[in-house]
Amino acid sequence: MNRIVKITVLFEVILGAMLAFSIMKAVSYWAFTAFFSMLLMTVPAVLSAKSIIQLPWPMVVSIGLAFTLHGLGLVAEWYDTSYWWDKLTHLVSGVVIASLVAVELLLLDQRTESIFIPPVWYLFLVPIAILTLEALWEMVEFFVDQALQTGMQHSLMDTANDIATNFFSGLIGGLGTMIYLRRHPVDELIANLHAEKLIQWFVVRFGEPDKL
Amino acid sequence: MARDLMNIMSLCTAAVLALGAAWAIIRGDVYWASLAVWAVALMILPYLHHRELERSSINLLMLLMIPLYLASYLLGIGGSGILPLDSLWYLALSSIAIFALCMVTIACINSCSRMDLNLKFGMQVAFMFYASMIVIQGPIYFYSDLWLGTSIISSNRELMNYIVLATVNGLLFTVLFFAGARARLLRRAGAVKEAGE
Repeated sequence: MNRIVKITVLFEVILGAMLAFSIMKAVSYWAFTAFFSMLLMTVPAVLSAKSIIQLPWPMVVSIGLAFTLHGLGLVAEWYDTSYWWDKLTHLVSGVVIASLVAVELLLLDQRTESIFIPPVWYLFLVPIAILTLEALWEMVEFFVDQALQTGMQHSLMDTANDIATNFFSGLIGGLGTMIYLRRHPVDELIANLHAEKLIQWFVVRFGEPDKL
Repeated sequence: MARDLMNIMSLCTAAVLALGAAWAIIRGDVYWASLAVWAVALMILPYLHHRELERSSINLLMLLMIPLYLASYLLGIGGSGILPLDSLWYLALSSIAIFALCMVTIACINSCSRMDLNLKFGMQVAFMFYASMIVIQGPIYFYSDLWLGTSIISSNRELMNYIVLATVNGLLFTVLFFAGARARLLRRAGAVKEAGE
């Protein structure tokens, strides 16, 4: 059993325990969240098994940690009792997304002759990508609230703090990528990702990269 | 002669923006003050460090800086500004100004730094930069209201309306500029090919 499968199994057990607890308590929202998290947690292992991309194991641990913290916040009701729990989960999820963005930028840099991104510029590109995704997420929350009268956006303070937290997670992700790339050759990381199939998919799907 | 005139116009615009920045600081408008300082830096730095730089992008910035000046200095929302955050005038002025600033910044980075971006990715980065500058207004204005005593954002709905409409504007600008720049580059490439034949 390789490392990614072991990590996946560990987090599946933790999330499964939360699912069981949620069913015992008969709270459908908690149960649905735990079940959905379990499904999503299998994605890195499936991608690796199908040789699409092999994410670095610390990234897989971070993904599991993000789901676990979110699930814990629900079943232990820490979202309601601790103001900072929401910010903690936003920060961890933001760092996970930031690292995925960094991987995508690395692949783009490698597969496109007309693009070159020096390590220091990840400190700029990753935070702006995260803030753009955060803008999209806030819009989704806003529209869902308008359409279904849910309470995804609690208040102006909540929205402002979510944006600020995700900005910091983008900075952390960008800084981490910059430091990593200064210490390790980028070819080594790309080779370890085994992403040839994914790159091929990009080329077939979107054609040869634009050189203009 | 034309170059000298352009230099004088650049210096005048930089001076006006510097005044705008000072006024915005006095009114406690952190965001527009920062943007004006950033624009002034963008106009002055290439003169100091990259004199050989092709200046058409800076000249474009100069023309598009006028709405920025209007938005931050005359109509800006900080302190006792005239326009509320979700008014259509503020939306139009700020969208153009911020998009211009972001696009020219990316063009300057592409010219002055070791980073190379092709047209498609460069425009995507310009859009992401713009969207991040739009959304970051949320925490900046919220904490400005809280700590500096300004009254800029009154509700979450006002902020979200602004973010949604400004993002749509940015998307339109990106598509338009990309199509225009691509057509221009293709025309230029075609002309070079014809001259070669």
